[in-house]
Amino acid sequence: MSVLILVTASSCVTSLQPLVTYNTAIADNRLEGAWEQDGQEYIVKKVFNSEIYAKHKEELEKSREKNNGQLSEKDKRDSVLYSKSYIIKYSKDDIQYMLLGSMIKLAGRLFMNFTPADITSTDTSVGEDEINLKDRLFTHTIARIQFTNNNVMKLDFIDGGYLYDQIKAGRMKIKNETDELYDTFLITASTTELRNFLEKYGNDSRFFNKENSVTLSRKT
Amino acid sequence: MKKITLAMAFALLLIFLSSCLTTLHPIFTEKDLVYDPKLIGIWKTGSNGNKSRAVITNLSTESSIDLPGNIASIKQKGYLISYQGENGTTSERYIAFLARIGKHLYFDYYPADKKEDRKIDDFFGTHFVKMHTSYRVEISADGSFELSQLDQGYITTLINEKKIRISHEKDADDNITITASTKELQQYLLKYGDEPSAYESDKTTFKK
Repeated sequence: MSVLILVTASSCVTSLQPLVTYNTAIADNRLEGAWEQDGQEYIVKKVFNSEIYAKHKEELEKSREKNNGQLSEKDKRDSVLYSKSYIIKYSKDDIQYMLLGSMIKLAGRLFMNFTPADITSTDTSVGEDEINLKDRLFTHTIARIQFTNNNVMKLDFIDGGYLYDQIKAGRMKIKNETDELYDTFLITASTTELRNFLEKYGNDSRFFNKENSVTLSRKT
Repeated sequence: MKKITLAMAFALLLIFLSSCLTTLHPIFTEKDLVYDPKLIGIWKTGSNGNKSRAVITNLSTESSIDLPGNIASIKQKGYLISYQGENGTTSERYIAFLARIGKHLYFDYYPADKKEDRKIDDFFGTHFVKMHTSYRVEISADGSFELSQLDQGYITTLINEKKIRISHEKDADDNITITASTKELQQYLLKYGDEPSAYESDKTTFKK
């Protein structure tokens, strides 16, 4: 996995807006469990069964108390989204990572929206400030999900290089921001635009080349 | 286990509620750049009672920094600003460019990574897009200078009250990301550069 994910990451498209929202997320029991590729393990749990949710439950309750025992509109939306979303946990080089994964079905195909959830150093000799994520915008990545069977899952991430070239050549239109001086490329299309785009191009193999694909096998 | 940072959707608010204005694009083009060699050195810095120091070097002398995009082509006019805590460890590091926009000087800050820094996983890291932060720079006759950081709240209020047209994106929770081009950002600075409320109240002083 480690080699593939590096390649994947280097050309991954990032989006400011999520593809999946509380009213479009779907749960799929096949996602839960332990997965691996090339010795790298990934644990997938429903949000409400995850350790990060347990850790934040108290904060959510406090937020609710402040709102006269009611969930705010945001909390309601989040709660619905989390009830159908997953935490993907993995560790690498003494750092534990968690991503929030939410799935949607578009034109008969499954897509997952990933966004960062948590990062924790497991190396007690490392200071807290060593990894600094200040002045960063949290964004989303998107992968097409294909289950070969219940034990094999293929993730095809959108090829950022291909998309950038198409946009630059005027062959495709999707709202974006680019800055060549700092090498910034961010999709700023709305959630609806993202869905429309993937309904149109979600089966176009040019978007999903081998270098941007990861195949995971179920461990348990 | 040591906590590095917490991000999850549960805690995203912490990030978005930051009062510092961050922008996707820089505030400068190459023609706006000003290079002042007197800024190079070790400075005592202070803001809101916090005491630390900043080391400012010329960017072209810093081979250990990962330079993004085409920054290498203008690195002679750039700075590396490293903030250090009382114990001498570097807490934050920025690629900075000084630009004259209208009658004021501004610093454009962009987070810098040292090549030997502990790297987070590329896939995880790709979800974080580095943003620019900007400061008005006021240099005194004795060479010391002050930074006033642009305030997110001020521009957010202008946008929400429809008093300004500047490119931005809102998420489902109405959090605003400024996506304005460099040209738009400069127009904003030309219009509001003298407005005290456009800046955070706490200034950071730099003294030799």
